[in-house]
Amino acid sequence: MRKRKFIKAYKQFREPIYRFVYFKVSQREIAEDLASEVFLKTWHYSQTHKIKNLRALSYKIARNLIVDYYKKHKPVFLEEQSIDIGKEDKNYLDIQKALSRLSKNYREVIELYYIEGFSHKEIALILNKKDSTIRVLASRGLKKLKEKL
Amino acid sequence: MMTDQELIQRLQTLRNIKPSQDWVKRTEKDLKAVIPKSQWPIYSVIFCLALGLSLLGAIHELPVQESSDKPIKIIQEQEEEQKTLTQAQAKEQAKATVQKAKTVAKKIQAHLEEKIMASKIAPGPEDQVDARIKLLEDLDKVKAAGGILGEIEKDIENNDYLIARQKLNKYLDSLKVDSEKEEIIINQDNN
Repeated sequence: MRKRKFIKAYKQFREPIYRFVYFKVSQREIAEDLASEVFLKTWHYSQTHKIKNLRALSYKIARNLIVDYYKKHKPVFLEEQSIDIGKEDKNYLDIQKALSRLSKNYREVIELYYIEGFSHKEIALILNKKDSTIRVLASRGLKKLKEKL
Repeated sequence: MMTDQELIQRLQTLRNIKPSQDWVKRTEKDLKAVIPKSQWPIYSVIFCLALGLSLLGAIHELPVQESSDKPIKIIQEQEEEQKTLTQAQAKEQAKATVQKAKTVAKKIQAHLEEKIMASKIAPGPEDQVDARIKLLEDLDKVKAAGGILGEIEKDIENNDYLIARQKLNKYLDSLKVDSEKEEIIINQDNN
């Protein structure tokens, strides 16, 4: 992959990738470390493989890194940790808490579809699921989230 | 009970969660360490080439005087005045373009010197030594380009347009060969 394309992608995805990781680990420092690793791994991978969808690849790598992280560390829930959302208002915390109470399947789809603006097709690619499944998860997930708030 | 739309809007406020600037800088530094260095001097050379081409266009507007003592046939006084005016404008334009190219060459030279100095202060692994050698080569090219531009400027001033054009063509040919040899990478707007 050409450097120019990668740099452009990095600038475009750095914030969404960081958020994606942050929503899962709920700790800024860890999210930052993992997000950095995502880009380094994506660059190395792109040098040896042909990439069709760099965004989807970055998210896949992020998911794998989070899985690896939780193999070594006990999950920390928002309720257990001190509030770590900086200047953001209470709304963030309420939403994040409600999201953290959803099952992983719903949470991931909601984050990618409603927050980051991915298409059903792209989410299907990242999560290795069918488009139709993503559509259902997005719709049901929103209803469940509403109940949790 | 909030509507779906309201909930989606609340969800989208989470987009305001952003990484710190410190993280952005650190990550960029980490990436720079693993991604090969940009070949930005080639880009600058292409910019010089573009300036050179516009200079060439300006010079082509000027009459080539084989010998200064050759009589010029004047048909009408009005035509002569107009011609003189156009020639003077073209000359000014050519001089301005050369001046611009010289300024760019100076900036590139200063930047290269700065980079070379930085690489001396913080010597890296072996592959960075190659990069420094490349920088030194680029610096020589830019210095040579600056010299040629100075000569062209003098030639224009002395109305030696034929010589100026020949020098410029030769210079552009040499640039063309160099730029074809290397891959052009459009530099990111980091700086």
